[in-house]
Amino acid sequence: MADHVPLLSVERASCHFEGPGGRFAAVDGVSLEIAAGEVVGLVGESGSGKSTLGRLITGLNQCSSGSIRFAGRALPTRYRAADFRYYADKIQMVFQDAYGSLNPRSRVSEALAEPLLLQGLRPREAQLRASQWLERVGLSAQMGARFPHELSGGQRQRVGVARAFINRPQLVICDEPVSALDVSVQAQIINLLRDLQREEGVAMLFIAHDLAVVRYLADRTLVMYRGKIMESGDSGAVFTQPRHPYTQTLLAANPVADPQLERQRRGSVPAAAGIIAREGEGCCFAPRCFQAQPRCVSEEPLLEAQGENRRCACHFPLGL
Amino acid sequence: MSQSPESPLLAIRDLQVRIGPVRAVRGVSLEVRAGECLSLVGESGCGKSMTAMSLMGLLPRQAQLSASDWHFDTLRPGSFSARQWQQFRGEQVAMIFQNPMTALNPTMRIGAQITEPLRAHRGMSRKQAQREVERLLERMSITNAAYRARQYPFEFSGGMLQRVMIAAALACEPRLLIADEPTTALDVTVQAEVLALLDELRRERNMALLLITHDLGVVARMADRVAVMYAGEIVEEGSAEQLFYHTAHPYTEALRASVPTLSHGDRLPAIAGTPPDLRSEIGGCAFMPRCAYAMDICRETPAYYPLEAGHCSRCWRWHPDCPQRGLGAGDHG
Repeated sequence: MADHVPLLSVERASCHFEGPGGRFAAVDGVSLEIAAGEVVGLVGESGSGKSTLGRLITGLNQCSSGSIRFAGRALPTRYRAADFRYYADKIQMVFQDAYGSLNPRSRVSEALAEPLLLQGLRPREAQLRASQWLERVGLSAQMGARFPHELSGGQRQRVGVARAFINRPQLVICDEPVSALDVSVQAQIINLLRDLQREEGVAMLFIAHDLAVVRYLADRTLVMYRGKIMESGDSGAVFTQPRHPYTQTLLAANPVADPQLERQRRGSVPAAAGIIAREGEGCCFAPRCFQAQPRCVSEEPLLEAQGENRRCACHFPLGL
Repeated sequence: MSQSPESPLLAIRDLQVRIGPVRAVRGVSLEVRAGECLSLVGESGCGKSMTAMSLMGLLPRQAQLSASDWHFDTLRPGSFSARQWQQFRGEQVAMIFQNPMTALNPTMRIGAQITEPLRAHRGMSRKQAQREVERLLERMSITNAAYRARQYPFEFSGGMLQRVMIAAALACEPRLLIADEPTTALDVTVQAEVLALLDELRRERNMALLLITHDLGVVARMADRVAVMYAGEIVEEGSAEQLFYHTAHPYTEALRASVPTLSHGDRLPAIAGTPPDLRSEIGGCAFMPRCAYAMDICRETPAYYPLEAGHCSRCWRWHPDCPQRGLGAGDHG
């Protein structure tokens, strides 16, 4: 990737919030790159900073330090209305709560036409495109006359997807787009996202806590914990041969729909080694790690390359 | 306690719940034995929570319920007065919910919320109850219990609150615990801990567990027996192994296929269409419009056909005279 500029490059980005215990870093010096048309998965537990990272890229939160470049151009540190408008046809976002992200007082067709009107399209054209997109996401054009509350959860998320894709962005950030949906509806939305991503050739950052969903959609996966990236690599490799103990812990905890396998696995979730770490020193995962050693609390492991496309922040990576 | 181990702790037949025009539950029969984990699986609106609420006597006032042969050990919940229900809940049956933050009182200290059932049902003094609370919290692996008991819900994480709710539910040592999506709001690692805790408590106390969930992974980890619900009725029931390895209803099959797995596959076979509107009368099989195996006869209501020991499927494919008996020829494969 050295020979050309990546679509998105995040360099040592941090985001601090004021909490009850003082300042804390939701995102702590994260670097990543996304190539045009690439689907990158981002997994981690709640509070790992994965949503904040997505929001930094879309400009909904500001970096405290570090920088984010899109197609070689630095994103503004503080967005103005004009900046949001400028990036509206470049970076878009699909949210978890489609109901909360749609205006309850505007009809579906209005919600879809709005981003087009802001891009300077004529109303007639915008309406036409809105109804085309309704059909593209699997809704009938008549649905355009409805209000968000008149739609089911799955239908609302289809509208959310259409609204993100309608301006033909180059990068779509999906923040837990299916975790609020029923199993069968989840599958419909996952298929829709996958089809649209391929047809449009758009790059995607897919944020989810559901490992299987990420494994299904993403070419490459990043694993985040406490604001830092612990491991990254091709999805197949990360999920079948995890290098970082945290990834291993997540995989072991993830229930699979196979009773015999589950019975074998019962009680096999590795317990923490019980090493005591001081806050802010050493590896942030050490207190929960099943193989933590004294070095883990004295020295922070860096995210280092381990083979092709593989990075891991651990002194004692697994499987080596 | 007077009954033999084979007879169920809880049995209910032909449970019907109607709320205004909606037939939320359309003839559900269930049996749960002591120490057993029965999982009730289905998507939103299939009536699984309404079934649980019926068993707890917590249906909304406008709901109409009917059932036959409703037993809980020697008790007959079908004819309970409000007072009897109150006694029954907590002592015999307890329930935990998906979202502990809304199920607990935000203005009450954690300890007080667990003491409440202890004082009401077991007549403990304040001192005794306090000690019991600390013991319970410690059992739930909450460290520094005495201090924690004086905190408020907002000072706890989601996983800890779920433990608090389990502690409150178990305070009076119920014989049946109903868990309605207990880990849906939790991270996988915390989910694993809460599930392990529930499983341990079930074994330790020979407590029956009715686990309501839509997550087939959770079902595979926890359940002895599984009942799959669709449009207000049970469409398939059997042991976990029967359900997962010898799936006998097209809906169960489609549901299983639509879950992405960690081993990479191609396009997910999603279930097309939506569940039927429970306000109108459903003639024939409720799943027919979405079914890959649909036949002409599916316009008529299928019976509940037994396959092998304890395994039943509400599908015409299992009728003894069906020419292509069983699944395996449909699009879901």
